[in-house]
Amino acid sequence: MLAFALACLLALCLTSAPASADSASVSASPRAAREYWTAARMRAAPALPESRRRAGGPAAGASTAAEAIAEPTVPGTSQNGAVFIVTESGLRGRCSGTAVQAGNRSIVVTAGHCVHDFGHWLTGRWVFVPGYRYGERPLGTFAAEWLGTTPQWRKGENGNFDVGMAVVSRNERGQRLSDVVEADKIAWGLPRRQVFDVYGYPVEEPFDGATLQRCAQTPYEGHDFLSFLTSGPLDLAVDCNVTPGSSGGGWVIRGDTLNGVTSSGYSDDPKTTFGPYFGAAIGRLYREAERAK
Amino acid sequence: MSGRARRAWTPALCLVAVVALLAMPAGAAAKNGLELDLHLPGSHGYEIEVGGYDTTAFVSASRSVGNPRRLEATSTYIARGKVSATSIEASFGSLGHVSLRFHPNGPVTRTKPRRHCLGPDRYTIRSGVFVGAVRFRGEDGYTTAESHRIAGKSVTPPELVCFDSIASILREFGLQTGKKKKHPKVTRLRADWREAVHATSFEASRKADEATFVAIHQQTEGKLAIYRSAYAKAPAASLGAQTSLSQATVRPPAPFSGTGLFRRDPRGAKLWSGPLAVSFPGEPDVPLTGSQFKTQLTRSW
Repeated sequence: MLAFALACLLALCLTSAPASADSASVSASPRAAREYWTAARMRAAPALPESRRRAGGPAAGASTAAEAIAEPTVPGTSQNGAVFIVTESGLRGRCSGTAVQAGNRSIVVTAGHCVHDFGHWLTGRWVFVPGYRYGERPLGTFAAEWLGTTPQWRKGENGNFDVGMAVVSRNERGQRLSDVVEADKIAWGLPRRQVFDVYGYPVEEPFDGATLQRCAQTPYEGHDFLSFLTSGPLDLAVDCNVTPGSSGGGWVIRGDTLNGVTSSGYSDDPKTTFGPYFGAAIGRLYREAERAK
Repeated sequence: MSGRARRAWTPALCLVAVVALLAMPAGAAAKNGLELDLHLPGSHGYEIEVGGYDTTAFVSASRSVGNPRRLEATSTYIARGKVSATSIEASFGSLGHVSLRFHPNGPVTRTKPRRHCLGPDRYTIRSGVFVGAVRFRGEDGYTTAESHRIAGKSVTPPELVCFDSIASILREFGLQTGKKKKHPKVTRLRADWREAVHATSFEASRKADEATFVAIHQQTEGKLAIYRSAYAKAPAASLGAQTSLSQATVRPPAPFSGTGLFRRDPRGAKLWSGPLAVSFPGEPDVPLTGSQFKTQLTRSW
């Protein structure tokens, strides 16, 4: 009986074992992914199914409340977009992401859990829609051809390394991502004390995921307690009331340089958002993404 | 956004281990994920614990009361460091630093092998002494500790992953075995407040003829994380609640002070007020009531 139980346990371990590499190629056709995400499906997609629920309701007394960006398609904001995902178990979900400058003109930076979650690559119909608004895709849809994350996130879901990247194909008009948006620069290894513009598409109340939101000029204000309990550089906290769906949204410094992404928050403190520090591991991931295509 | 709940469980286990180890006798072997765990006396009756795993190092100061001794309150200071079974190196800023290296001076023993393990099946224990320096001074000097030699044991690995029985496998996957125990009715009042990098929780529960009280405060300050906890037990009357759960009063003993009053008005709004406070090591009189707390009053049935 014990042997049988052990066999079951082993089988369970094997079936849920994460892939061994820190990146995955997407075999499905970009066209199929683009066509799958109809306007209705995009509008209805919730934050990733396993997302923690925030308390809901506006953040009382938030000093840096997110504000909607009226025109998300103009240079300076169009590099921000919504990410749409179908999970291993077939559930739809969404995150946020940012186009960054790269030799292949096709890199999107997001959160690690938006590309690899619970031991699985989220390769199913992963698309990036820059300038997304009310179900529309004014700059086209960019399907992932390659997904990557840090080894620390993939192996142990270490939140201090919750960063993911995608290399995306051309959109339905044959354009590369950086041909249609003014991609941000990316920087790592900078001092922690920065002032960020935090972007994202929060889905849960008081937001609805329809528009790009920004917490403007919000400064670093410390580290999350849990960040001390796992290895790696301590994460960053900022005063920003975004909700699930904003995962992977960009933290921009100096108006044009990506230096962080939204990773998590607590349901009982809607005013504070946490993201990993961009250290050397993020630089390595970026270089890997540049080489991927 | 996501991740917080999932990423929390592993460190939470380690933190549970930290708290559990506080109750262990001095010189106890490292296990439950801690690679190193040492105890030494602090001034003013405090017990100091030094330990950690991987890049996480901590110093804990605990205060016990009564006879037999019962843990009353603890403050744990957590910093980045380098920790292995044979050394620890970490700075706790103005509170002190730890730099110790293990020198074996006794026999090597191995525990009885366990069955069906993933990885090692037994602990290897080396007796010896940790040499170097521990210097700790709690906030405003509530306790101090200094040592250059601490007798201890190096225990490897930090934990065993074994499945000795079907029951242990089921436990590992959160499945219980055996007959369900009949649980007594429990009245529970809970108040939580989190803001930015600070969080405070208070819980009072009454079961049969006894009430228990727990307060936890966690915060980060620059490169230091601080986890404080306090515990008390008292007769059941120190948590009084109306049958309708519309009102409750708590009067916990030390290290708590004052009273807390919970009221639910006819429209369902919750009020949590009163001078209830708790004194942690290094952080006295922390308020535990106010409109910033989210409260819950429940009774099991």
